[in-house]
Amino acid sequence: MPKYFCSGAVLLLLLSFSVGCSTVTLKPADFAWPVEVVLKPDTNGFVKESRFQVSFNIKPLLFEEFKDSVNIADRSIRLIRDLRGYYFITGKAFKHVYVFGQADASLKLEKKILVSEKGLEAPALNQKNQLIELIDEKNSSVAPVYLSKEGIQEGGKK
Amino acid sequence: MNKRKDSFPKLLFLVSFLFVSVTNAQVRSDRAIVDQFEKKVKDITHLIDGAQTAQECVEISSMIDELEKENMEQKELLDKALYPDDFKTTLVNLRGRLTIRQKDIGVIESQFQRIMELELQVRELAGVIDSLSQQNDQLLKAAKALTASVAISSAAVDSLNKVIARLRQNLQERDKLIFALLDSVFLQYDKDVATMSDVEKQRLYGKLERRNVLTNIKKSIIDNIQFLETTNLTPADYVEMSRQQSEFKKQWEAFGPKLAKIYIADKKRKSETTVVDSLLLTWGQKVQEGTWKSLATLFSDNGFPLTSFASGDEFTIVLTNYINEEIKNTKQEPENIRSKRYSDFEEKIWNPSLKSWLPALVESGKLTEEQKVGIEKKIAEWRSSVTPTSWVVYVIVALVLVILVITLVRFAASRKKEPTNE
Repeated sequence: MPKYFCSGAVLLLLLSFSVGCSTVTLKPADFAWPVEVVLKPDTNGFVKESRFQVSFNIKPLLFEEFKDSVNIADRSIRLIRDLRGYYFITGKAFKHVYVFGQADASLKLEKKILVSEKGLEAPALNQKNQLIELIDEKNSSVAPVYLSKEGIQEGGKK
Repeated sequence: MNKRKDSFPKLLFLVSFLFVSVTNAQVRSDRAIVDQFEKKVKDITHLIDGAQTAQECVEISSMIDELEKENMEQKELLDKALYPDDFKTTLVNLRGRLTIRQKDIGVIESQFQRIMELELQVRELAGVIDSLSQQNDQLLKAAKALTASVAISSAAVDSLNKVIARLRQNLQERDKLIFALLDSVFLQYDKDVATMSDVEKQRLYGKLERRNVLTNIKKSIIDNIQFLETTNLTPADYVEMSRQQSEFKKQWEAFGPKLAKIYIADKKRKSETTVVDSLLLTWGQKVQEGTWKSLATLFSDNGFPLTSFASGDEFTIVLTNYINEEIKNTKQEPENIRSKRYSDFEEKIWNPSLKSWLPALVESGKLTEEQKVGIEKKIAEWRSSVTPTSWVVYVIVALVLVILVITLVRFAASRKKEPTNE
């Protein structure tokens, strides 16, 4: 009898545990922004996007890219969010495109993609077929590069 | 003065409006497309707020139409990117704002509609003129290439004739359309250039520039001159070209001074109006030269070299002298040689060509009716001088004489038989 009682108790425990851990997933979800935004930081390094209400500090990013987070007045970044919800950031003279995921009141770097050895002249990010298209507007001879959170998907060096 | 200052940036915008899309790089970011659209919307909004006349409202309305047309391909992107409005709502808002402005400045709907119709006509005509210009360029090239191969292959003659007929028709059509366009542009203002304000003149200037009016006029004349340089032109072609040149000249005389007043501040354009005058003169001379040259070739190619001539009077004198010598037989040639020469003239020159050239020359004012009749009479005289009299003529004359003699004899006999009163 105690044997059955024990097994029943364990089963009940497991059942209640599994109910407590079950998650509800809403999908598909589309986080894509139709068009990139060009943002200039304020004196403290904060950028603010008004339509989608996102703001963050880009000083660490600029330091990562240029090893300089002091001279930020002339800097601007180009920001777009892909379908999966990742933020893609680059800018003039950047050699990389940074992919960030949303974290607890922060953006967490997921991938740093090298896209140009010399630095981009006039980069622009477009939403294209579930990927992010990177073009250089001053360099029309260079083929566009298609990016995802995992890195370069088409064009450029993978 | 303020108005003038205000209108300059507007004018600059008007002129540059159409060319913006051309300057865009091949690789364009979606952001650039959206930004450019938003900038144009903003510019048009400013223009609406500053509009003072019905013409301005019509122009702005056309700009909104063009904005819609040129961004239609980007509609999906703009629908998503524009916020809080979408593409359609943005345009609806612009048109609504324009309607309110029209009411505010008291533009009468019928007046707006009339000018709008004229503007649409202008746009349509400009499109047709561009397409005709492209076609004409190709036809001119084809005509030149075919002219070169005519000497080698006679089969090319048919193709060349077809090309020339088409080209002539196209050139004529474009000439008409250019002035129809000009007419529609000026009609929108419904007043003489002299009474127009500076702002209106500047606006008209912008409109003429956008439609490449002066460039098209020059191009049209140049193409007509080039057309004259192709060979194989028939008398009908020359008559038509002459008529076309006179018509063009008449139209230019009507519009040229108006354009000169509009372009008064633009030295380059002003000087171009004088270029049109000299091009027209060249065109007229080329028609004239081409006509006489072609006529001289007709004679010389068929073994009748005439002394050179360059006008209707000269042609009449030269041809009449030539025929007179033939009639008088100054070379004392035998009858059969003279007769053969006349039949050659009739077969190779008179019947196939000259007969149709003469009325054509009269029509284009290069010969008078009297000169034409004189030439025709002279040719008839030549014919009778070399054609032996038929036996039928002799029989008829003999019969007439016999009848005459019999009548006289009978008359005399009847007089003798009459009794005297004595």
